[in-house]
Amino acid sequence: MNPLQISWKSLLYHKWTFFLNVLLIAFGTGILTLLLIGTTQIGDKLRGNARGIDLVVGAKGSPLQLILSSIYFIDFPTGNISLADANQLAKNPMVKRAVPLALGDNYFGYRIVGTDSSFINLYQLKLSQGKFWKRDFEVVIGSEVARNRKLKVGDTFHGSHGLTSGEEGAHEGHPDRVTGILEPAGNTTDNLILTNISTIWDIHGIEAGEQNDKREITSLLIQYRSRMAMIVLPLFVNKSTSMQAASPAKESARLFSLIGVGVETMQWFAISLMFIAGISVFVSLYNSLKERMYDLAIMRVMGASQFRLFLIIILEGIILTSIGSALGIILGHFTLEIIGHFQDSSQARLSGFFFLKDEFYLIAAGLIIGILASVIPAVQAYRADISKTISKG
Amino acid sequence: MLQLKSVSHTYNGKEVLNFSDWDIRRGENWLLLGESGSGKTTLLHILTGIKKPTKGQVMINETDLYKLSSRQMDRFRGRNIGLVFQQPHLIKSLTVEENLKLAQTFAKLPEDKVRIEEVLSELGIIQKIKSYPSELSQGQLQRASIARAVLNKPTLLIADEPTSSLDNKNAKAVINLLLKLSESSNSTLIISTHDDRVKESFSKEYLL
Repeated sequence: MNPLQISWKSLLYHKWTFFLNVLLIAFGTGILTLLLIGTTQIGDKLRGNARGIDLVVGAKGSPLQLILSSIYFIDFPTGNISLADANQLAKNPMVKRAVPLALGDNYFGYRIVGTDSSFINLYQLKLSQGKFWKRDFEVVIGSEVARNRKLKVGDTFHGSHGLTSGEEGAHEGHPDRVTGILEPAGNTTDNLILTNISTIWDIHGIEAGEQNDKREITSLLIQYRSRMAMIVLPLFVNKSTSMQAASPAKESARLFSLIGVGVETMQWFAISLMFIAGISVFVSLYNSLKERMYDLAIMRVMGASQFRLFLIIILEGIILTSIGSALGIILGHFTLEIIGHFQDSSQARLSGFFFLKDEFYLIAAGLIIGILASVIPAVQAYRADISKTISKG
Repeated sequence: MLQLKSVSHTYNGKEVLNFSDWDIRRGENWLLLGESGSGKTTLLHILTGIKKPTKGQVMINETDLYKLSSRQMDRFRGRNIGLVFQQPHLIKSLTVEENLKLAQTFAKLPEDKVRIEEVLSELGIIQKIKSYPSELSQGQLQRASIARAVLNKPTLLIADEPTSSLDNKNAKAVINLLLKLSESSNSTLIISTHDDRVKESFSKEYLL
């Protein structure tokens, strides 16, 4: 019988206490894991999608909304801007690259984006099958769209008006035909349907009967030519045109600080849960020590050293917290996978199969809590007076 | 084999217990007699090495017990001394077999299942080998704790009032068992008691 076996059997002897303590630690660690891998993924996605985009120009309104709709494809756009204004801005010498976006339709919740080849270059998109669109009503779909809607090159479908599924009926008339499927890129483009802008105009032109000189797009993604543009261009757009300019970096940071309050609250909640778990482990060991003093004294009579008893008690704390934190980490991943599964916006889907080095710190924290909670009972076991304990019976 | 030399113990700095010298030879069986509160348990704890006397010397097989380090003492005790308590007590979270295995590993001896089965058979509780202490009757518990004490064939087997809570028949049986086991494991037996029923089986007495 080694100390580990003795500690383990002693824990099993009080199985409900064991269960309660493991549960408390697992919940604390679980929430921390969930927050850790959740926020890391959200942060990665925010940064990944905004890579290479210095400025978004769109209709006046909330800058955050403009960023959300044009980069992350989650919120509704702020409105439309005229193609003429957009083209004029795109010709500005400070602009290195300007990518036009025209939103308005979806297919089962996947947004149909009217754009041009500059979008492909911006995101460095590659095809896994087929070729890029050339004519109207030809589309290239993201890998997730192809997988989930089981679309192949050559398939056709009718998009619906609006940006979320089931908002309005499908467009009638000319169907869209898939000419290519993109390689998975790990960003929002996996969930997009790309086509040229005139396809979007055609669909809505037929419906609304608009004139050509009133053609509009939703927004413009801009890459600066120089650092100078960073200061001048947003000011110019906001002051001298009817459009607004929003910086993805600034708005993402603002968005993250908004989420941050919630995350921080949850973090403190989880940390206090861990703290309570630590106290619970301490109280359990401390209380059980009173009834086990005689057991421990007998172990000493059988020849166990003081250090052996110390080790047995410390191990009980460590076993409890390491099982708890290991379960907690599994629980955290599992919960995030479930959250991801039921998530509404496919653009920002979170995955439970995402691992970080930092999770080892959670295990380490669990171990430290186990040691801290059991050190006082262990010292008491170490210092117990065998003769006195046995005399008392 | 065992010598007690001018040992005395002081309680709380005033009450002094003086123990007369005691010389025990290998294989002898001794009774330790005295009224309750006369210091029987204190003396047994001094002999076992779990209570350091204020003064004096305890020699077991040429080893000066209280000159050993704490760790050496624990090991010496595990190997050489078997103790039967007044109240039988096993570790609740472990089976009878595991309790006995513990006695072997704590004494730094290899786990020996054959020896465990042999002792339990001798005591007639082999059928309880996989049972937990809570599943044993008082008598079985007493036997199991005797099994633990004699398991490592100690040179010194000490029993502290082993019959105090038993009826005549059981008291007789336990004494006979202790005598038989100490003989088969070649141990020296010391029994403390104030029980007259025990006296007839012993010729040597140490009076407190």
